[in-house]
Amino acid sequence: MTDKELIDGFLAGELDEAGMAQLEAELRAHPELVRELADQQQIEQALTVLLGDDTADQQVTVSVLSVLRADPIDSFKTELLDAVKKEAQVKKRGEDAAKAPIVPPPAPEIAEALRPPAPAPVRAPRRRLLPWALAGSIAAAALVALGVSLVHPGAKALGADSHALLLSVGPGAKLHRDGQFLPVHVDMALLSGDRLTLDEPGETRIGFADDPTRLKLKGPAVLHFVQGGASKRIELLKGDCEIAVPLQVEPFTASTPHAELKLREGDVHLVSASDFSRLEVRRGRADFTSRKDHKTIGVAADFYAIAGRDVELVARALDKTSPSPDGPGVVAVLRRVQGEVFVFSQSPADRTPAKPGRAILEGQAILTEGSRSAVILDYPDHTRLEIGGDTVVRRLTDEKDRTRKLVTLERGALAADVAKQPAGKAMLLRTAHAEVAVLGTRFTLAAETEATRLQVEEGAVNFTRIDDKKTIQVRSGYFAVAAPGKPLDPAPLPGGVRYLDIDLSAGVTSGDGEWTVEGRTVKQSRVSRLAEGGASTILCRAESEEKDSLMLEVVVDVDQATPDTAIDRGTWGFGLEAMFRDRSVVLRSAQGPEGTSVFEFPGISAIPFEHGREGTFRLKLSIERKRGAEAVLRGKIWQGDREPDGWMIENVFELDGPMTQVGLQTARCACSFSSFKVKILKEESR
Amino acid sequence: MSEGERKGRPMDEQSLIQKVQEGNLEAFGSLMDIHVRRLRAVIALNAPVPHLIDEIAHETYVFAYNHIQDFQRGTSFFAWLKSIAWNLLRAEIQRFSREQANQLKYAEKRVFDVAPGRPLEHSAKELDGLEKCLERVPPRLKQLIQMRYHLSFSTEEIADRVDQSAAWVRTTLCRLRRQLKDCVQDKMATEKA
Repeated sequence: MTDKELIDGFLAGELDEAGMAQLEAELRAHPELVRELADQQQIEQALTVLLGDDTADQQVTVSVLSVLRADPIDSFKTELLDAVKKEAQVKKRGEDAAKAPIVPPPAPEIAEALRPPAPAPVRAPRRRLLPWALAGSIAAAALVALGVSLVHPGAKALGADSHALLLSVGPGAKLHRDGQFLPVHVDMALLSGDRLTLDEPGETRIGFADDPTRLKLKGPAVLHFVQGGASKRIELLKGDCEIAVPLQVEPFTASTPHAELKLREGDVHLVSASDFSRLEVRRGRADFTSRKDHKTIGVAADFYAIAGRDVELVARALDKTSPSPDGPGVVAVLRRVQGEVFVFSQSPADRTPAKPGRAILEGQAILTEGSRSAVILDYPDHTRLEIGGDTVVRRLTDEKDRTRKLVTLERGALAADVAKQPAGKAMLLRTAHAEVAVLGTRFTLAAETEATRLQVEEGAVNFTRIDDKKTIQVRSGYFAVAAPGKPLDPAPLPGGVRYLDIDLSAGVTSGDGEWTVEGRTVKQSRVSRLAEGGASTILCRAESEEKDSLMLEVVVDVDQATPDTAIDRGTWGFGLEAMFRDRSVVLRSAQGPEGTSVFEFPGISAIPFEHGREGTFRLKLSIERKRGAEAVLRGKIWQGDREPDGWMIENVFELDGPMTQVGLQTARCACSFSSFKVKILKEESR
Repeated sequence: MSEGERKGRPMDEQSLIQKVQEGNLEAFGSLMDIHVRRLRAVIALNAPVPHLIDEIAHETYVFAYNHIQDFQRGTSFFAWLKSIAWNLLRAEIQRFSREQANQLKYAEKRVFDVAPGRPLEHSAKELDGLEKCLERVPPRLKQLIQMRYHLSFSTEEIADRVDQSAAWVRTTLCRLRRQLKDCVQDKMATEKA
């Protein structure tokens, strides 16, 4: 790591032992770096306070008021001693119950900790939530704060470092303690016996009081906190957890229903599923024991192991190499990956995390976990699948004829944007209930336990029910559901939604650009350096009715933007266009030097807006036709798959006649446009 | 302004001080709310270890309440708080260096050793400068700052969201803090001149 990375890692508290050692070596070798580190820490602390939320402010206020109200000293002592007693009891129960030996705290320390507190302190009472209590020791710090010395020099009070803390709290987190659910919050201490449940997807982080051991628990999950201190132990009953452990005297232990992990130092990822447990070791070495046969194996860095009812416990190398996208056996390439996405060959238990750019080979399957996870993959002919959350896609090609696309959707949903397929080789998509045959179109397919639903946006597809081989044709704006014993008929989409066909193959280009159409992806690959103009447009036929209200959508990948920063040539951007009888509507992002960047309907309205020079953006333009020639224009732009609520920009515009063409625009940047569609919202009565 | 609005308006600082001097503890809560963020920020610019920031803020308020009768109404309450905080911080640094500095890791110890020892009045001006300098940070970089300091994202989380490497995020944040520090120093120098 460079000095800058080391300094930032240190300030963020993210340096591991090796990083810390490297930083120390740098500081020793370059004393001038100490001043830099001090300056950086000063600004770091100020920014943390200035820009942080008001939790810390409130903690200060609450702690001051509680001290000034004069009651908390005694109650705090009582609470503290109660907590210590409770922890001792829980620990004792844990000792009796746990299979593995748990190092009990020395008895004399218990006696010391439970000894009645000394008389009232001379010193002014300090905060109830002492900062170093958060970092290290509630009990010890509190006693110090009270000016009370309850322990012998060198001795450590029980509970001082045996708890864990919630460093962050994800959605749906709740804590079960002593028979009741407690509200959870950041900095809350976890005590032995606590059960933390995460009902929703999201992350909750846990730290330990005595060292930088960190757990990142991903919901949905259930974690049972057994104990902290020198012999840390948890039970991961469900979900997955990233675990980072600095060097321990006693190994960190994590149990699951199928296995037990012991880790003295390292970074691992532990998954606890209903029928298996999976361990991936990123750093260090771990012992992994199957509960089925009590067999233990050592798992080294870059290896993984699976334990389960029907799985043999062996360590295998993590597949960190990705085949070349144009290598033999490659059927598709992952383009965008969001959330928990995995590739596997035989069983979901035997999975490896997926990354953008990864090639998918024949026979490989794709798994997404969590409702917000998603992945986009492209076949070589630019047919695109957008695979949604909690989905399993088993196959991507036909086993017998690899030139035919055959997708097996085991569960979940996907949207397909299918390029024109060779004659006689219609793309097939199969679920448990139905089969879809398509030569080129756009649709969404969702497989549930009892039924499969097909929704067609553009073109038409053949939809066959597996049970009785009944086939129907589903056209644009229609959907159908295949389920045993239910009628199989196409029905119009709710709200009368339908999509216009966009004739991408016959687009008319203008300006300084190089446009190509590959399947349903449109690319503009020239970064114009012209001082004047620099924009380029492709217009394609897409005809609406006279008063149709429309919604245009497109996904834009910025491949390269102009490096110029001069005012006259610095502006770059991309946009959507809708051409009507005598005028057109354009919605675009125009990125210029600082302070000049806007998201706009050019000539009508604009809002300041700046984004990165690379990445994927989604644009949406709504044209709502009103009475007469009036139309309400609305637009939004965003990154990621979570569309923001509401519109970012809105205005009224005079429009006459039907829409005749739709277009894509670039200015001084190269972009790839995909998922370009025009939805008809409704028709005004004439 | 309507009566309702008048009723809903927070009391001004001097009225709150008067109420506190009359023994109203709740008014002291409101008084704290006015200054707590800036007081913590000023302390943050001078505290050699982050642990001391909230500790000193806490003790400053406790001291201020216990000595509120000494405060002269009509003068700046924040300036009074700063002077209390400065004295407490100085004493705490001495105590800390005696009792706890030897528990620090090497890097923390070195930072502690070179910690500034200037009056907090100086830091208050630095804080003003920092706020002005922050306004000049380009929006793209402001996004990074927001993710790090407001949303408390880890470096990896930020890297994921901006589609860059963790090394890029760390380096950029480091450069950004350096630029902010230089900007603050320039402002201080200009003001002095």
